[in-house]
Amino acid sequence: MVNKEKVIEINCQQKKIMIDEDVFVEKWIFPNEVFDCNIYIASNCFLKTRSLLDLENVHGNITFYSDSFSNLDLKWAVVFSGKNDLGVVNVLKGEKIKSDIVIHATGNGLASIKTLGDILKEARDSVFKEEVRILSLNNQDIRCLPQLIVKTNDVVANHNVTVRNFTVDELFYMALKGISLDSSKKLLMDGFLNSILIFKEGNDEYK
Amino acid sequence: MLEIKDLCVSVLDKELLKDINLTINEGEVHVLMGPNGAGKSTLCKALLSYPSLKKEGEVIFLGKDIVHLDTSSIARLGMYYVMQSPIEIEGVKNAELIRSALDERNEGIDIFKFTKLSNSYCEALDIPKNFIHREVNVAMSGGEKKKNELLSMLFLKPKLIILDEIDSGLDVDAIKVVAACLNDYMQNNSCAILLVSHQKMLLSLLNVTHVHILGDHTIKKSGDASLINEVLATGFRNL
Repeated sequence: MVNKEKVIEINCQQKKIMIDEDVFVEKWIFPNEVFDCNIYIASNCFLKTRSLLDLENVHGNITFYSDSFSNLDLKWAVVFSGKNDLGVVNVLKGEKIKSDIVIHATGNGLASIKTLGDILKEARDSVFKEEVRILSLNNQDIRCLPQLIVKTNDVVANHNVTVRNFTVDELFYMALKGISLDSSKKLLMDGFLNSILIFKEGNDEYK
Repeated sequence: MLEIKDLCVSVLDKELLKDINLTINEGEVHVLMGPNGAGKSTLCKALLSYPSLKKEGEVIFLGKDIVHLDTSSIARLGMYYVMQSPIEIEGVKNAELIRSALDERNEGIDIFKFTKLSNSYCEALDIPKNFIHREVNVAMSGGEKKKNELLSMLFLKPKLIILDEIDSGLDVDAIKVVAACLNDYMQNNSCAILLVSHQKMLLSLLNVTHVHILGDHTIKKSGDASLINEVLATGFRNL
């Protein structure tokens, strides 16, 4: 397939980033120090990303400000290590905005993910979806605090967080193929992260 | 090939199966029938050491007592189980799963041979060649999932194939394809099949040698293929 969007990278050390054309964010750079990055998506523009992030001792907030008719399509597969504190905020400040944020997180560190969908009065006819799935392993502590503030009636907005470990049936299924427990867990963890990144048949998405 | 002696299965001290005795030899096709809740799937799962099931008795598979062996070791010995409802594994592709399973058996093959085999197996199962690159059972119909499980089976070359309601979700043409695939596999490999099914068409297409009726937590009656017609004509209550 042909990529029509401009492919860019975003360094979260920057305080203000303007997106005034359709972009695909290929790479996210997270600074070592505390950051507060504000990304403005202009009217009729979209920001799309599919990224596997390896985050270690990351502390900061990313706030997306979406204008009318803009589209934010963010899918992050995150592996945390060390101690992390990450905030992802989306402010919808215009009409007919589409926002789809999906984060799959796992790892062996500590992490606190704060998500906020702030849907302002002007955001009529907008669609906001935010989903955080955490695969919690034995030696980690990942927490998520989801928040949704809706100031208009004329939107479709939902958010959800799930935290789970490997299920008995998943591990049994893998074992039925003769795959050992350690290899099964590794495959399932890779699958959990890859599931939002891989190309889905019949779906016009990036690999 | 498989000898089950006085097998009792329980979960949390509740007896699910008792005094199961069954012998399956190479080349045989055994059918397990019984009313809903009789324990057919439990027996299949117990043979493969499903975690919560407690077993007592003996299960000798290829000369080895596997009653206390873990699932993956039993699978690597050559037992293959197709669940009634195969689960979906998001993000893991068939090719990754099968190659990992082959690697665990030290039977890894190069990508060219793998692709060639995959294409021929997909053709035999009447599924698109790209099935091998799809996520395991994700967004597949019931019938496609069953065929997908058989795709893995053809790579792993098991000795004993346990099929739990393989016919559910299969249309008429798909049943013929699955039966042809199983018959062909039986012809070219030293193996046996234990099949849970009440589907007349599938059973008529396979060379069924033994039939067992499960009820009251044990095998109540065994016989040859003629028992299938008896069951289908009169039901289980009259047996």
